[in-house]
This record gives sequence, structure tokens and C-alpha cells, in this order.
Amino acid sequence: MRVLYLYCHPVPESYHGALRAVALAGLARAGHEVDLCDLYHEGFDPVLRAAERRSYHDVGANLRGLESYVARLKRAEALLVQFPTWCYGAPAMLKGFLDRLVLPGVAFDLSDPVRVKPTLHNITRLMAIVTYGRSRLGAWYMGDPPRKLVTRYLRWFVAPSAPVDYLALYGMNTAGDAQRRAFLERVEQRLERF
Amino acid sequence: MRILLVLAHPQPESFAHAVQERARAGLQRAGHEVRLLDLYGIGFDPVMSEADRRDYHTPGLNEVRVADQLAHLRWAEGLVFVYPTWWYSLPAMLKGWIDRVWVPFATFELPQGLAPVQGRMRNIRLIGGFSTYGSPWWWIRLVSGDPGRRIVMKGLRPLCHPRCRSFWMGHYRMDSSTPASRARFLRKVEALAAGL
Repeated sequence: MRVLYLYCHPVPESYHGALRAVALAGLARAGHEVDLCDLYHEGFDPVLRAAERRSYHDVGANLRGLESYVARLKRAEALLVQFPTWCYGAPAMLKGFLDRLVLPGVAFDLSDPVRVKPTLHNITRLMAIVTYGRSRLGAWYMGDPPRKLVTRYLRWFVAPSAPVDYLALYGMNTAGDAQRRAFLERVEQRLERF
Repeated sequence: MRILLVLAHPQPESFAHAVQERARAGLQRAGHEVRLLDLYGIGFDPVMSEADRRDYHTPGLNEVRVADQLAHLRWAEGLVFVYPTWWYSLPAMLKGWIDRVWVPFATFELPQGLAPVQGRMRNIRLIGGFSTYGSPWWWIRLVSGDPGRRIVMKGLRPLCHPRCRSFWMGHYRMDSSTPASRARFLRKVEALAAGL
């Protein structure tokens, strides 16, 4: 499968860097073709600016400057998203990627405004690797925005039959080395079977 | 009261800007001192950089690059957000402002274990927001969970004064809004602001 790996963390030697290494190893062993989109490394600009906002509904023109990212989304057969939870939600970098790329004509069809149709049906698998500082209970109290982002929001745009795999490590603030290592193993094993 | 009005919309001709103007008019009528923080206007950079992240847990150092924004927060006695809900949540511009400015030690003490967060923004006694939503309200409350509102009301509010008052007002179904519904909403915004 062609996997678009949307990766969002600024520090290369962070725990997320380690997660990425094992995820890539697992995907390689399973024989998948990976398009790694490291948003920080690629210097993606997450700010939706006035000109782009004005052309937002103008299918075709709304892609200007985003063509390469749109092509990568359209080429993907699976989507893997990885990010840390900051201030209860996804980092601005990832949120801005969605603000700018989830466009009419790309991710959904607005030609009948009463029946908006999702169109990223080329994506037939969805997976996420997410970490949280706080416990599962704390995240639940907040409505767990990262989980909803993946299982309710991104889920809607991709193929209706696409299975969703949400791999989360809660409680990073108090997690010891054993929990971190266990999660690394879990990620690697799951991706080997991706 | 000194009120910081935080606005996140790129277009000056947008409905969010109209909401901000009416909120400001109402607040001023009620005798509050209002400072507008137009994040797009000042060209705020919402990306938590590698350096920001490395310094995030170091008291003092984590304030250096956002000192001007922290000064606004410390000045404020009230905090009011105006933003459009894009894809269920805060625009990246506003999410990044929270990510970068609400740093530990300056705005809260890092929690030990499972203890609740200890806030350090006790100067803030009022918090709230005005937002617009494409979906109907029941979808926002029951399905999407309104992450933007929760991040402000359940995430930031506990960092403020223990008796911090709060409010929220949304215009739902924006995509099928009418000039009449928008005018009604603007009137309600101004009335609510004038009553704060």
C-alpha cells in the first residue's frame, strides 16, 4: 500500500522521533511504500491566510500553492497521522494542515450543498499514533479532541469501509520507561501487520 | 475591567470581525477597557518551533519568545475569544497562540502525578467566547464535542481565578445563515457583551 505518513513533531530526538523510527521499520518490513510528510521538516505553513480563505470555495483555484500536497493526498491508499497532544488538542501545525488542505474539490464535494459528499475514498486505511501528557480520564473529561479528530473527523472523508486504528499513549507526564518501551513495541508490531 | 479580546480570522471583511466590533462596542458601553489582540493582524507565528519545544519546560526561558503575549495575558482581567470554528476546532492560528503562550510555570504549575493543574492566571476573572459553526448545534455538542470551546472553557478556565465567570455564544449552521440570522446574532453579541 502507498501510505501517506503525516508526521508532526519539531524535535528530531524526541520520543516521537523514536516512535517514527519503529513505525517506519514496521511499515518497511510489511512491504509498504511510504510517503513521509514531516510537516516541520518540510517547513509547512499552517496559517490559512486571507487570499486563500477568499478562494476557499472556488474549486480548482483553491489549490494554488498546495498542488504537491493535494497530489500526495490523492495518491495515498492509507493515511497514518502522528502527533503529540498539546494543550488538549493537535498541534497548530497539524490543525493548519487540515485547515488548508481539507478543501472542496479535494476532500469533499460541495456541488450539492445539502448533500456534502466526502471524496478521499482513495484512502482505505486510517491509523494514528498519538501521545497525551494527561491520563485517559483527563483526556475524556476534555472530550478527547485528538481521538475525535481521527475517529470522527478524518474518518468521515476517507473510504466508508476503511478500518481505523488509533494507537494512543496516555499519561506521558507520569509514564515510566517501561510504558514508553511497551508503546514503542506495540506501534512496531501493529505496523508490521498494517 | 481590563479585557483582552483575542481575534483569529484572516479577513477584515469577515463575520468574525463584525462580531469582534460589536463585542467591543458592548464591552466599552459597559465601561470596560478593551485591548484587541488581532492575531492575524500582528502576524503572530502559531508554530511551536523546535527551540520553543526544547525550552518549553524551562521556567523563564520558555517565556522569552512570547514575552509580549504573556504581558497581554498578565494585563487582562477578562479574556474573550472570537474565532470561526474550522473543522470542529480552533483555527491553527489560535491553537498555536495557546500552544506557545500558555506555557508552564508562567500560566500553570506542571501537575504532579494525577493532581489537578494549578493555574497561575488568577488575574483573569472572566473568560468566554463567540464562535461560528458550520454544523447545527446538536452535531457540535453531541458528535464533534466542540473541541475549541472545551479547550477554552475546560482547559484554560481552570488556570484562571477560581471564581472566574464564563460565557459562550455560537452562531450555528453558518452555511445556511441569512442576513437576518447574522444581524440577530450580532445584536445578541453586543447585548451579552454590554451585560458583562
